[in-house]
Amino acid sequence: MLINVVILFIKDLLPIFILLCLISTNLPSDTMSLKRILITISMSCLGVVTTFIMLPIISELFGGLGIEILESIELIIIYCCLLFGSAYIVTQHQLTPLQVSLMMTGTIVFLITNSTQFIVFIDSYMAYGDAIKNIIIGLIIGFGICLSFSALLYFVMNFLKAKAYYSLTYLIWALFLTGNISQLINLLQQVDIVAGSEAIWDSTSIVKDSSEYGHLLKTLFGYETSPSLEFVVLYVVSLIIFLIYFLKYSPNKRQYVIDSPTNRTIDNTTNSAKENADVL
Amino acid sequence: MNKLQYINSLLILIVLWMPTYSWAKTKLFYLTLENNVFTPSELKIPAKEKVKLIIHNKDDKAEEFDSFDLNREKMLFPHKKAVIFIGPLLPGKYEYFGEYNPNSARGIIIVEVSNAN
Repeated sequence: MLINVVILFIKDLLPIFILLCLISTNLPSDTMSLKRILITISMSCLGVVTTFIMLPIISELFGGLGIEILESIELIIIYCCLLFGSAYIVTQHQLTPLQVSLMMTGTIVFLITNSTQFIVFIDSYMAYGDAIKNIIIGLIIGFGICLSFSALLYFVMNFLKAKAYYSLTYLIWALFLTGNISQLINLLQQVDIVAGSEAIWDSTSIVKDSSEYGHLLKTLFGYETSPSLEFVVLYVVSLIIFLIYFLKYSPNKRQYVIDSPTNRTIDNTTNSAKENADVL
Repeated sequence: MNKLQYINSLLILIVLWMPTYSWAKTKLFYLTLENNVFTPSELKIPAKEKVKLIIHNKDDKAEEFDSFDLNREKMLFPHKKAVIFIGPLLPGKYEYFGEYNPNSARGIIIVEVSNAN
């Protein structure tokens, strides 16, 4: 039971740790004010509790397709919100209020989607009288593992940011969101809204889905050992959308003076020069 | 009816119609979860054919049907039935398990070319 709590904690909640890590390293620090963080947390908690209570009813909607349809809608919302909110990674300009709202919405829906299943699992385990101790220990271990991984990722992302490898940070962001949206196909095939098809390859001999690496790679970029054609098509389409978005916005990119100790931007320097000229 | 209501109705119809249309042609198979054990533990289904699997959770606790081999995950709420579609699959053995009780709730779906029951 203890191991199972740890595994499910990592499976359901590691994506949240990774998303928060990517957001905190890729967005300007002033974007997420305390007020916005509190709104995000309270809305997420409310959403998780509501979804948890409603889930048995939702599961019976549309002839038993309710959960899959709800999760599909959630995945699309997450993808769209976080895609349009990711402009900062490309341009390094401040986000507009709309983009900040989209990022918050995407984060809230992401938190609700991933947390609810874990709450259902904990609720199910609470039925065993002697499970509390194992659950608490499992939560602590799972939290420790997720936190350690997030710390590593945080340092890697900050390193890339310090070296101004914005294309690479954008690629990591794009792969993470693409891996997330590509789960849409499995959900829709599961309830026969999208026709299922045979797997186009099988990489079980390299990395198994059920292994630790499989879980991690799935969380990071949606790794599947035996993906269907539809899965691969959606994956590629999503990456193309990110590429188009990158090509569209990258010409507006703000240029950094990398060697400057204060990391001042050329834009700032230019603006100061203009202001001085205006004063004169 | 305004344009938005029209689109909304159309979407609902599409969502409701698509599965119903294909379900009519799909073979049904049943699994039961009782005392954290799936029965039958070996289920034979036909190869290269989509089938509908109805899983009845008779336990008082929720469970999650999970299969890495089949790429399927489905919440099973207490005393409720859940529906998933699997296939078309190549002949072989595909493992599944209950994610909350993986030691006891396990089974195999055997995909055969013929004589599937």
